Amino acid sequence: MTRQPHALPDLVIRASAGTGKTFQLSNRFLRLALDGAPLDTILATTFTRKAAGEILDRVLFRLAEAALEPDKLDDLARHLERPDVDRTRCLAVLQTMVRQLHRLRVGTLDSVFVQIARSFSLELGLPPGWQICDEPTDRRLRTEAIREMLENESADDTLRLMHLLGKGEAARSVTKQVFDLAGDLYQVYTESPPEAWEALPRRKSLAPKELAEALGVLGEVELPNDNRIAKAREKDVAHAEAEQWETFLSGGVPKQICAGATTYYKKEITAQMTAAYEPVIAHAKAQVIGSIANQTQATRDMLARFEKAYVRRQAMHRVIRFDDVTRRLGEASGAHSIEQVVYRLDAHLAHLLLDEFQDTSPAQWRVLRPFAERIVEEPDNTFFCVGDVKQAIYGWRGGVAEIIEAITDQLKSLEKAELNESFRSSPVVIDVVNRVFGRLVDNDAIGRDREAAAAWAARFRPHSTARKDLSGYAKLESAPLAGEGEKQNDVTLDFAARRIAELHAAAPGRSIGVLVRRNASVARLIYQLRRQGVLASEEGGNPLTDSPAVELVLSLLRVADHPGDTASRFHVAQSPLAKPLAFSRFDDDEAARRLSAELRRRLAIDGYGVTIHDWTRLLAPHCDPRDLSRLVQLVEMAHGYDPRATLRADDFVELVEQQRVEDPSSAEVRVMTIHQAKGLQFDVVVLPELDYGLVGQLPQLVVGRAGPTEPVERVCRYVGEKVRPILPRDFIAMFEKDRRQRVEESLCLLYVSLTRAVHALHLIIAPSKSNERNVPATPGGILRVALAGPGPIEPEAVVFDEGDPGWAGKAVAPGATAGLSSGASAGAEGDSPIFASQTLEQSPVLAKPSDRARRGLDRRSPSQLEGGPRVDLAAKIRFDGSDARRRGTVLHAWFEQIGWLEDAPPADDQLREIARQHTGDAEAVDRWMADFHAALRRAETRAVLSRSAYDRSEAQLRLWRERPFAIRQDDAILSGTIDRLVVSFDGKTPATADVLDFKTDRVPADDRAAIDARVAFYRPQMEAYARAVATMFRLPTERISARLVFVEPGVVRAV
Amino acid sequence: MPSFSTWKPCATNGGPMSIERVFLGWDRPALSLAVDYLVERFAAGESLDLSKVIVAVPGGRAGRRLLERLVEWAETNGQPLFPPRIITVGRLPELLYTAKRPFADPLTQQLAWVEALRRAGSETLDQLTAQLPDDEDLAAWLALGEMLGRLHRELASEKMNFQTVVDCGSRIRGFQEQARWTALARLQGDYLAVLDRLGLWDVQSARLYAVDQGECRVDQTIVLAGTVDLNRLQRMMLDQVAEQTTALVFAPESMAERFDDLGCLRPEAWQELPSPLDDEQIEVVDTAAQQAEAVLRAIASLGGRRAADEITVGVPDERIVPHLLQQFRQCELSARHGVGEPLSRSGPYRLLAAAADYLEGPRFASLAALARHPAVGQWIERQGIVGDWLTELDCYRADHLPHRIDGNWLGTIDKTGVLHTVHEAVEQLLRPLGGARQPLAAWSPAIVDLLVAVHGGGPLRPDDPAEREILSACEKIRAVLDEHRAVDASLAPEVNGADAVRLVLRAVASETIAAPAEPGSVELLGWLELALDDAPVLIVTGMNEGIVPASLDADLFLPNQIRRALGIEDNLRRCARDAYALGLLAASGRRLKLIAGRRSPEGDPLLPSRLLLSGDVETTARRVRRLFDGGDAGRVRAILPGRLVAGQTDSAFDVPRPLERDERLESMRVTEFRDYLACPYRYYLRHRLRLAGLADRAEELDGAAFGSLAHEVLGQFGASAVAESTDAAEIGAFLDAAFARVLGHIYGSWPLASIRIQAEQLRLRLAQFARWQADRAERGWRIEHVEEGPSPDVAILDVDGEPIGLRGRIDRIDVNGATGERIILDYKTSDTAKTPEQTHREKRSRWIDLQLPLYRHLARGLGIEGPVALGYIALPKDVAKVGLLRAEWSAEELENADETARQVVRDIRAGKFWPPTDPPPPFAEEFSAICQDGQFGSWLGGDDGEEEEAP
Ligand code: SF4
Repeated sequence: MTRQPHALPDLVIRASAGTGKTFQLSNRFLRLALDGAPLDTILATTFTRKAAGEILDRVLFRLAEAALEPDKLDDLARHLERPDVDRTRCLAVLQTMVRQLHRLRVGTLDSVFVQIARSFSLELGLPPGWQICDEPTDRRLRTEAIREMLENESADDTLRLMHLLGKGEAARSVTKQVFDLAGDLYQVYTESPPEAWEALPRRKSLAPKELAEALGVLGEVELPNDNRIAKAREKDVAHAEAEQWETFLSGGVPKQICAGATTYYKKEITAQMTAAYEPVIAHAKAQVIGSIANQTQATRDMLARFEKAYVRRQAMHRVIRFDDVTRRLGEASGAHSIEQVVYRLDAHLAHLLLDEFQDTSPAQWRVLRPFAERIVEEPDNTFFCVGDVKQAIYGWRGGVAEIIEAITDQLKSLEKAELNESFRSSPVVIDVVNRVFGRLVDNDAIGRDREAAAAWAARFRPHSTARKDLSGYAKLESAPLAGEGEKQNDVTLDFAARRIAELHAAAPGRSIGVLVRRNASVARLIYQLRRQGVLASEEGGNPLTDSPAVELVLSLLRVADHPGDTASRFHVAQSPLAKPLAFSRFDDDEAARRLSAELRRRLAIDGYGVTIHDWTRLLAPHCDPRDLSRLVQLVEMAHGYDPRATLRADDFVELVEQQRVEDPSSAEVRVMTIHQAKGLQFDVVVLPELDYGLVGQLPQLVVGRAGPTEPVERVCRYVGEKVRPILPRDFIAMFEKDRRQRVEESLCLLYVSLTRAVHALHLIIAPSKSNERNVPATPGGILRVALAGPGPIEPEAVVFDEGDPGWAGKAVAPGATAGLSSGASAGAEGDSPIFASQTLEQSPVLAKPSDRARRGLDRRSPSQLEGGPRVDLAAKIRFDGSDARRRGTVLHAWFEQIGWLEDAPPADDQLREIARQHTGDAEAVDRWMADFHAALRRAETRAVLSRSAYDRSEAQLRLWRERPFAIRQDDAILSGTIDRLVVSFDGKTPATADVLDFKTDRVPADDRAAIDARVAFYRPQMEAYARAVATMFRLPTERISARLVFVEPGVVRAV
Repeated sequence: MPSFSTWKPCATNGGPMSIERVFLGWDRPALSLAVDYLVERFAAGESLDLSKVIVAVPGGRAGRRLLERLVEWAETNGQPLFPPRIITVGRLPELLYTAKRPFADPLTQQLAWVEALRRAGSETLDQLTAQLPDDEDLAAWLALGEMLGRLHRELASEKMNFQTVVDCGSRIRGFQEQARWTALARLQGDYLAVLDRLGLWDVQSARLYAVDQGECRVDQTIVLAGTVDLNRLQRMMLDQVAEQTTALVFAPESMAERFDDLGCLRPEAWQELPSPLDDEQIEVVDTAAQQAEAVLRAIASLGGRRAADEITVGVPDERIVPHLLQQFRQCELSARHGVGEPLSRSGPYRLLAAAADYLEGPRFASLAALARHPAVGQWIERQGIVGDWLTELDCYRADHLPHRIDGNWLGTIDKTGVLHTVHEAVEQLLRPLGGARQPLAAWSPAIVDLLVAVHGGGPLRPDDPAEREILSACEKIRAVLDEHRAVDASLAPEVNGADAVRLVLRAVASETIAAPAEPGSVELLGWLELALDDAPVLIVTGMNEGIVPASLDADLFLPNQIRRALGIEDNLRRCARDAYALGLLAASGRRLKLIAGRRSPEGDPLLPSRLLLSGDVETTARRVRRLFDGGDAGRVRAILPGRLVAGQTDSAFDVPRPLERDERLESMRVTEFRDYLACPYRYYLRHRLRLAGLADRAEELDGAAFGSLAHEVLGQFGASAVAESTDAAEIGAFLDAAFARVLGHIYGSWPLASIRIQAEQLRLRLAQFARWQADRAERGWRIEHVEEGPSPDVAILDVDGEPIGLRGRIDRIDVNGATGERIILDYKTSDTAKTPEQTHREKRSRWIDLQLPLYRHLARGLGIEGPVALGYIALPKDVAKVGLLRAEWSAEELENADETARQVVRDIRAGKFWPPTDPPPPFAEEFSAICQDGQFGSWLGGDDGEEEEAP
């Protein structure tokens, strides 16, 4: 029955949106398992933790289902193309899978890399016990590193750099700029070798004298007879003299000469002129290129300094980011044989299954590639990957979509397959997708980026849908035109908010996904929607500050950190907390100071979780259910924060303000950026922000590599199109390529946005401006042309609609969509809003405890009772300068050796042997030995150790040394050991007992007061011994004596 | 030196005399069975005398519980108890031999490894690591030492050394690590040699020696209770005392085959549960919080018939503990996690951490943190320092943005006096920890002194939980300091005070402070302690793969494969231990509920434990279908509020209404009007109640401070002789000098680094201003007034017959010598230059700011009559745009502005401060909590919210 897994081809699947990538992956996994591949040889990776969890769930569930239900077995057989698979086989494989749950390797790429890195920590130079850095910590480390960098930098240097990057402006805020710089560019920095930053060849410029001469010649050169040309030369010379080289090159005669033109103002540019201009032009070019090169290198210098500070901090905190893990592994790849990796991972990888392959970064591929290459070579091993270049929207993070194309060259014998049938979207939605992307190249809105569009379109095949039954609707409409002083984007968004509110009202219970481009738009939309009474939340949730109850708690925390914060004081004093906290006058400084100190004390002692819980109890009566639920979430967050709580309440406040927490009661309308929508689907998708430029944001740095998986060869700071022609050809090409990639990514974003929809699509764009000449090069423009034609668009007009606007009323009941789409990646699958029951069905109560506790009794030892109920910290922990503790231990151990003094005393050798366990200091032992013998010579000491001191016969006496005991005392167990216990018996009945405790305190024999003090100190302990003996031997306390033996002065005192 | 065995494949013990095994069954809790056994065997006549017995148990809690049960037995039966010596099995070996040398404590061991590493040659180190820690980074070296020490301990306890791995590895296919382990073996030799030189042993060496010499003996009876997994060294030692040893096995005799001679598990026999669990015993939920809820639901289902001490909650995954404690709290029930709180949360730990930060460089932020430590606060008060020094500190930070502190406080002494005192006191407190490097131990007294000074202000009461915590934390810190002092001088590193403190913190960071007993609480127990627990109701969370059973595949040193080959702890053994433990719980006839989650607290996906899925193939399939039907997973659910009940249907948190205050409005700043026009309520908060936020987080100058700086310099310029100059260079030089002065005056020598850069930015704007100003003077403009404002009783605006005074200072008034034209000018330093029209009016009609129009009245107060123009001198970031922006309002428009001002005054007088404007105006961030701005999301309308203060 077991087939060779190698019957399976090495396969790359390009799976369009909604066609079931995860399903394909689980098929492959199941197929391998059923064919008998050892489970721990299969490695399946994906990008999110959620997806990783789902893959395994699907695999196990489908197998179990197939084993139990005949029709599911048929389904499975069909999907796996294994008609012979039967129930017994399923059961057997499932059983193996369950027994080897711990050997199943399905996870995120990051988690796999972390595992490898852990196994090679030392070789990778990672500190022992390193952890992945969490976001807040990383932010802190970066801030500190930036601060340090600024600190060490001369202000001039930093300033120069800022000017280089800030286009010469003297902006007020610097930290944000530097922070962004370090954030955005650090990735480029880590990926690019130092040489790449110096790739731009510099040119030779003229010496000052030569330049002056050249300008002299230029100033004198004979010009055609045209005033305008004379003026132009004047300007050119002036620019040159002012060293404004960019300006010099980008206008006037130089521009013409550079462009290869032969005339200016229709007059010929004479050879003479050219000859006069040329040296200056060459110099100008050298200068401009030099400054670009300088800026590029200055950027790297700054990043290098940032890195130094940042990496040092990482090492100090023993943390590292996922990106760093990947990079280090990439750098080390090759240093260790695959065998070694396999050995330490304890995994003989034979089958590689990669999901969402388009998001793989070159750095990640660098780590994976050796494995993939080996697997492809081995006939019994298999390679499988699934991805969609059309959904590659992580270019900015290092994902290089073309890898999926490049690997077909790198890995021989890969088979290719394509999936274009959607299991998600309605025919209407699919129709829109086909209309938009089917004829992309002809679309007028593409403008000059036809090449990029063509490349993108080449990857697109017309989509079909398996969900022909789904009703749906699509509409493209325009917003009102912005008035004076208004921004069109704001107007469009506000209009969209009204539309969304209507849609929500018309299709209750349907999931609505609102996808935008910028984070700021998310906030604006949520604001507008909530004002219209629509509970909208951001994907991933809003910060808890969306509840006034939470805001109040934060104000209280601010008062804890800043007693002088009168705004927060007022907030607290006017709130329900005023009374319980006894703080009702916000202007009472003294009361505020006291309150603040008390709050800080509580936070430090009880922790944030407990303290905020207590406040929550005070606030609950004033809360509505949502406030309370947000407060409870705040308490959860506070508990999570407690282990790393600082002395500053501000730190927690900051965390609360930044962290998003999903609010379970507001899941109806979700607003998010397109990136956040990845992998999700919604009944209705609204796209209200389609008017962004296709070229996207200009980058600060542009990088070039020979191929998508090759290392970076060139880095250059962004150069505007005007100046670009003077760059070397390969740099120009690099800039072109960069632009192409940005356009392609914009198209991917549009594709991802449109394909999130199950039933309906609502597209909202700006109307044409009155002066519109061309269709704007935006996604909105593309949609306009594709759906409505190239003409201008009136305000508030529906320019395209298709399908059934009333679909929501007729379609299958909400919730039904979720189950049907098991093939598609799951998400907010048309779930109806989720309201968990807010109370426990039955509130947990406990029976009354019995009068006497039965378990968990407190444990007390008599020595803890020393000194009574108040402890002097100094006495407890100060060093007394001697070796008192060890001496005490050794002397005790020696006294324990003494039975009755009348019998043979322990030999010195034996005593030394005992001492050796405690100290290697022979000298000290000698000293203590002398002390010990001296003590034994003292009369009082001798007396307590002698049988003769007891008025009994040998037979009536029993002596115990180091006698353990345990008795119950109230709700505690009192247990310990008694140094020396002598009990006398009348027959078998205990008659008296004598408790002796040796003390090695150094007190002079004649200092009565000191001895009294010590006796008082030890009294509680001795009383406890006496009680224990009373209980054990059932003796009345008056028959028990308890005595302290101060061995140094040789004083024995009854207690 | 002790010897390590050469590697043998899976050595079985088979000594001359074997240990007695007693099968006690498992239909009752193991501890009950153990107590019965002890009583039966040792009770004689009138007493239960176990004084000659050593009972070894797997964990500390089982030992404590056993003693409780014995005491209870003694009480119930009225017999005196002589308790046995109860110890955890890990400590048993030391009772069986007498060590010939003192033991090296953990720090000495780590330092011995470090010594070995530091001395090792590159041929050794290259095999081990790509990058050794920096010489300075002692903590990293110690961590490395700790790592190797751990490896050494594990292997040594199996009677192996690093060479053993080389020998064993040679039999594994694809093993390529011979060179690495050979290098490690060399290091191990060096490590042992270091200890040898010091006359010390680590415990493993002592045990090995005792075993080798056949020295183990004991004169008591040893009873092993439930110690089902012993390492090789333990086994060999027990073999030497086999005659006196009995192993109690909690399992029916019929399972004897599944246990070996010492009553340990045979791993192969325990890869599944002996019999499958019932469906209703298993519950799988999503998150950690939901696991906690499931526990409370399980308790609810008991219907109040059980008391707290009859229930135990198992927490194999400690990360669930806080969720559980919170859920109990919400249900107003009490739970106790005996392991207790991490020491790192205690006051003394935080004190030392803050002190170390401070010692590393006297940064303002460190002082601000340290001063907020509650005990430090009290200490400061004990020094007789009174006043709200925290607020002083905040204000100082806001005014001067200091980075470092050097004792030179900026500003006048009456403002900073208390800061001087606080700073000096803190300096004195920490001075003993400053200064040059010293041997580690030399810092110990100073560290203790710091703890005593701050926390020992009065006697501590151990019965107060908070003070008890301080006490235990200090004692544990003290124990670490003892270790520091015990380190041999030849190993002791020289460090500075901050590093010494950090080393202490490192050593105690993983310690916990045990929670005090609370009889009315439900006990939360770790997995290892659970097997021997005897509560009638057990609710176990965290039943997830990787937790129960734990498994380890990948490893830096010993991946599973080599573990198996060596016969040391591997996944098989781990699983066996947990399968047995779970079997024991399930068999004991108690109520058992097992809860698993699908996501870790960090959000990683989790699988239910494979043990939960045990059973025949059909059962397994059905259970998988039930548990993996992903329907619910991933849903966000509200956390149950327990007994917390929301008291309202609609939120009762209203924005506080303006208070009734009778306060006569006499005068207003001209800049105030803008705030009222933007939002009457926030105006009220800011100007009538004079509320303000106060924080100390600014990273750089905000718009207001940036503006003030410029105003100060430009004011000095206007008042100087250079004001008339037409020489740009001269003006520039003056501004430069003035700027340097002002900067030094306000921000001192050590401000935040960003300020130096911002200052340079401003300097650029001023440089351009100099050119502009020279040109202006050239064109006949003369500065007539600078920074002047008349008294409010002169500058008045009549409002319905009741005049209102206007306050404010005009940046400057220029007059043209040639034309006599006059213009009132205001400097603007916001990044983008906006015209007066843009800042003052919305859509060319509605006034949103009245500053410039009202300046007319101030000017009149200065005695300036006749027409005056209005304008800005903009100094924006684009320096090319530095220059004049004139306002072009007609007289009518200006009159309209005045009328707007009158209306504002009327409204304020009438107490119209409600409602707040929505969306909130840009300046209102400090009031966003009061005004509940966040409720609608965090979007603030308007632009960057940049604001500058007009002086
Ligand atoms: S939903 Fe479609 S893909 Fe999934 S099992 Fe059924 S038929 Fe197969």
